[in-house]
Amino acid sequence: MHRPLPAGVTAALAFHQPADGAEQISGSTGCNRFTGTANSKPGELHFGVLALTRMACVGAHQSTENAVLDVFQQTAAYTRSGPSLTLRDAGGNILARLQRAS
Amino acid sequence: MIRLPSKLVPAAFSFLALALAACATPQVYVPPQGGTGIGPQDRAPTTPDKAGPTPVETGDAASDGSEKEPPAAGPEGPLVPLLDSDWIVTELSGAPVPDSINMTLSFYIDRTIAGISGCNRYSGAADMDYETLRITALVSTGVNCPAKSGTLERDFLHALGDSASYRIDGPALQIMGRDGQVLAKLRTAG
Repeated sequence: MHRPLPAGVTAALAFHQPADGAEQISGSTGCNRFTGTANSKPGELHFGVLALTRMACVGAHQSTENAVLDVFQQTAAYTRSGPSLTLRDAGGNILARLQRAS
Repeated sequence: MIRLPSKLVPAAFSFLALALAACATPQVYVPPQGGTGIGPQDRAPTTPDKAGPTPVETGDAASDGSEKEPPAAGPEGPLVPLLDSDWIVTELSGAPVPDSINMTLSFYIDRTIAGISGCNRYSGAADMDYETLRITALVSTGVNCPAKSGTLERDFLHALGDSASYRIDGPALQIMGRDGQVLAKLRTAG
């Protein structure tokens, strides 16, 4: 069950060099910015605890943030094909589709 | 040579589309041969004998070999019609809603709904997947309305509260109750 992000709202996720076996991640939820860790091996991906800025948001920005944070909690796997990254839950259901930022 | 990277770092991505509910099962795609008893391919990433041609590239199997997307789906994949448009109520419990009554329903990505119930505005929470629909936490503004729209308004909000499932057929949406009875008929707006 998917819906494109609302117009004018962007959410991003970046993976950085691993430290202590966990990858550092950062990005934006559509409202706040976050940093945190993720554990990945081929095909598998789990997000750790995120540190989130605490801006108050409204409307589409807030709803997007809620959805993005839900996705992070449920992500268990990923598939990657060229510039596309798909996050999936443990059952293989698609949680989110992302595209590599150019 | 393995083509797909096994590591995600370093790379930056932008979100294109988000799931609404984790329990949602992908729809739209039907295997080309009927009667296989196997659901959408997205749902069975580990099933080796699924229907349909799947040009699996060896070496990629661990990450995506058996998870080809439906060919018709664009880069954002199948979208849920429920969320794709605003809906106008045309019928409540078998009785047509007059054109003069403005009665609408919209679904949002954060599992909420909102609309106009004939006179007042309302909002609520919606728990849904590809078949079921449960609407809770309905709240309505408290404007006094003409008698006619007031009655329809009450019927509509009751119908929403009793919803258990839905069906979409082209521009038509039906909301059904627990026993499968049609509570409301809607059509896409615009």
